[in-house]
Amino acid sequence: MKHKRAPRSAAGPGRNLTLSQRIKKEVHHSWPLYVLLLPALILACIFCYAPMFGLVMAFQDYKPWLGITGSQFIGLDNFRMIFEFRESYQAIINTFIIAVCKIVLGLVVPIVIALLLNEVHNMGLKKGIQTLVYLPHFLSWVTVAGMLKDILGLDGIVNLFLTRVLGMEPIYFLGEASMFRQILVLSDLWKGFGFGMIVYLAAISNINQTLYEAAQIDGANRLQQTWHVTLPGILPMIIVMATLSLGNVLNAGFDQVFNMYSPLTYSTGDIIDTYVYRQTLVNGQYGFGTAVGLFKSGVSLALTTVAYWLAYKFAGYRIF
Amino acid sequence: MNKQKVVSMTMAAMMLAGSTTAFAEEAAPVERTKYDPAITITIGKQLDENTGRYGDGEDINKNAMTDLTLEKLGIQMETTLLGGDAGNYDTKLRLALTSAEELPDVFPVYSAQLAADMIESGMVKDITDDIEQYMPERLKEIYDQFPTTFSTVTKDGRIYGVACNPHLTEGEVMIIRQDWLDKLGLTAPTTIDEFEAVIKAFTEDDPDGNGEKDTYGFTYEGDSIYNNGWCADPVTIFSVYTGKYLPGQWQEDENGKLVYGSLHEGNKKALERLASWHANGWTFQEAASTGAWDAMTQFTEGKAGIFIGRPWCIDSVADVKSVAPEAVIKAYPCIVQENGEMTYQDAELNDGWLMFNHDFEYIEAFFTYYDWMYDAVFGTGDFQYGYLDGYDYQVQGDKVVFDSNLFDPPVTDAFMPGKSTVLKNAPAADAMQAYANVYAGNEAVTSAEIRAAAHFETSYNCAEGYAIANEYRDYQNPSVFKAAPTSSMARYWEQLQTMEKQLYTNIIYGKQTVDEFDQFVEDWYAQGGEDITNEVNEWYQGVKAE
Repeated sequence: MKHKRAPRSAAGPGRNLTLSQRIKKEVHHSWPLYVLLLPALILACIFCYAPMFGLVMAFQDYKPWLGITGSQFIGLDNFRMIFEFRESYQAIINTFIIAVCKIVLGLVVPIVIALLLNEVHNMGLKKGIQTLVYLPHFLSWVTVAGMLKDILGLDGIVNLFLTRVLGMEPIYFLGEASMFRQILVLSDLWKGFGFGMIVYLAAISNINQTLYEAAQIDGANRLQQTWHVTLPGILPMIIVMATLSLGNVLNAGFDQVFNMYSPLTYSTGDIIDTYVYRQTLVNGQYGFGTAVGLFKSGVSLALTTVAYWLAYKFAGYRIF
Repeated sequence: MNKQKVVSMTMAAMMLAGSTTAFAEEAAPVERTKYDPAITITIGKQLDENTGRYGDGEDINKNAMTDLTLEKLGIQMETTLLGGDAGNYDTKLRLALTSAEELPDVFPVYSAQLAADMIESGMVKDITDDIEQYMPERLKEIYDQFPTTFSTVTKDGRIYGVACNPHLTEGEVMIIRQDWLDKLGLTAPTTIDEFEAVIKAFTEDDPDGNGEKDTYGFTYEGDSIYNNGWCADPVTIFSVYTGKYLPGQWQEDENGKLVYGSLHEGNKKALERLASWHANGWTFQEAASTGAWDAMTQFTEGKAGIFIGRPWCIDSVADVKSVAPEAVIKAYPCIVQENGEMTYQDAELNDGWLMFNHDFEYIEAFFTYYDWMYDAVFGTGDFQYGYLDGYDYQVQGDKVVFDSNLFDPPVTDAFMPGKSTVLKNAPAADAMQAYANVYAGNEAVTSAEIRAAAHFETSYNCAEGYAIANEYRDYQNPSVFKAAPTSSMARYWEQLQTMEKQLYTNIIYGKQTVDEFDQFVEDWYAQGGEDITNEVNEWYQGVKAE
């Protein structure tokens, strides 16, 4: 998996041929493989690349009955709208902060839990915990938000504890702008870390056991084994997960925020997606919606590219 | 403008034979042309979640109601564009604009923007002349009462649609736990000060008598504009100080110009008042993050003692009896303004507009069909009590029953013919007036009155709410601006709404002071509100001129 260089240079005879000759030879040699690849290529073209022409809408005042060819071009006006207002500016900042916190915690916590769980040798207990923490992943945010409203509500169990046991004043958690981001990040972590953990556990189980035996013979204790064998062993997986999650830096989780925020928490909780949702609800602003989507994709692409390059440069690892 | 137009429409004698009966005392036979061979009208429909259950082998295009339409009128109604919910339906209609979906012959449109897009696309029919020529007189009389419903579907003096079943929907009343009032020896509040005293008592004097401090006075929705028009509505408190200039509405000021109600100076006092109530714990503490229905649920749970809502809310919160069997829920008029006049509230005149495909040929047939459905409103022709005996009503001897649970045999989830037409709901007339007539002791004659009388029997306090709402119908005041969002609105409206919601809620929750209201008004105008106000007034001048 690590050195995935194409083996073409090993084929000696092809070295002195021109490009077209080489292609001919390659096709002649392995055409069945290319035929097998064809359906996937066609599907990708039809469903992924062809619709990209629709991105033109981002630069248009798009009217459905005029179509892409007939609508008026308005240059970067749609993009200007994203950055024009204090509210939208705030939404971009919120999105960034919330998403970065989610990415960092969503990366670190599953690794730590996976490492800890790996040390549990009672299989029943291990599987039990694994299943339990994985379960919330399957709940929809509508459900979880409803639960959180009850749990964190003024009559909820948390406030019951604060008032009855600690004698404090009840806290209106979901109406407190200063706490809203933390609640978002923590509840997202609770819901999602089980998934990441399972990925890492799978990676850990793939590590060659002889490495541990060798380490033990060298006198490494548990902590040292973890540090010098387990972590390096799952490093490729960590890099893959990190790179993939970086693409989400402008996705702070529409479902979650939309179901939990309120005017009281707009200042810290309003994100790009919820803002655009409200903005386009007034009327079908296709152009603006496309512009926001393009903007987000652009940022994601840039960050993913940087992450890919960093992974190669510092870890010598090609993700794909 | 439209008013004159509709008035001037001559009573076209050549239109449908015999459909000229006005409010018939008794079921007069209405004769209509039956199409032979039968014609097909395709329709668009937003599926209502509550159309009841189809019989075996039936579906949306083949059921008791479509069969009846075919049998009586020779018209086959066929739904070709079906949207699950409002968003889904709108999307499909928008797709129809790109010709990715077929645009049906007749379809309701539920948003002003979409109606404007339809008109601009040129794909809907100009029906100005058709209305004059084909609309039956008794329907003209109805539309004549609601000229403003045409403004959304009018462009350059031409009309491109008709409002779906225009009528004044029932207004809101103040709904109170009467048993709490009685227990504390209080009477229902009529002024804001009395209101304050009652919600204070409901919070601090243990109205449910369980020795715990688990009740409060007033529940309302605070996660939107402070004027929702249907349930857990806080708008009354604002109207006390702003009169008809309600938050979220455009109303004409003394100079004849439209102004945005949320900017009215009086809102400051209302916000201050709500803020002090909030700080004292007399109102729903989680209002800011709770939608209208859930806010009303506070009442159902026996926690809150007062909310403002439409009369049917009384039936919706009847479950409070499961937590407090002694609960008595009663409707009262809303409180009065500072000057002693009743407070204003929003008003709903229609839910959407019917629009017609540019290529639709049978507009005459459509009006025949539409008028036929209105038989149920007038109690004429085929539909004296409702649409289908055994479905939406049942004649039992000399009695008419409307609740399908009381049918013989009882039916749960009965198929609703009135919801299975091109409209989401069966055409209705002024329900409030019918209730008021029965409440005043008159004998129930029209189908609406018979329905009202039946409601008084099954749920007296709820039915009474309708009669009370009727007394104050003049204070139901719709926003004057009814057109599609203007171009500046498309650009700026959302930030302005965000600003407004934040400021209002923050003031009530004590996070911002009421002094910041003036800054908000200034910012509102500076950040696009100025342009919007100008455009809205441009539109208004145009409407007034016509």
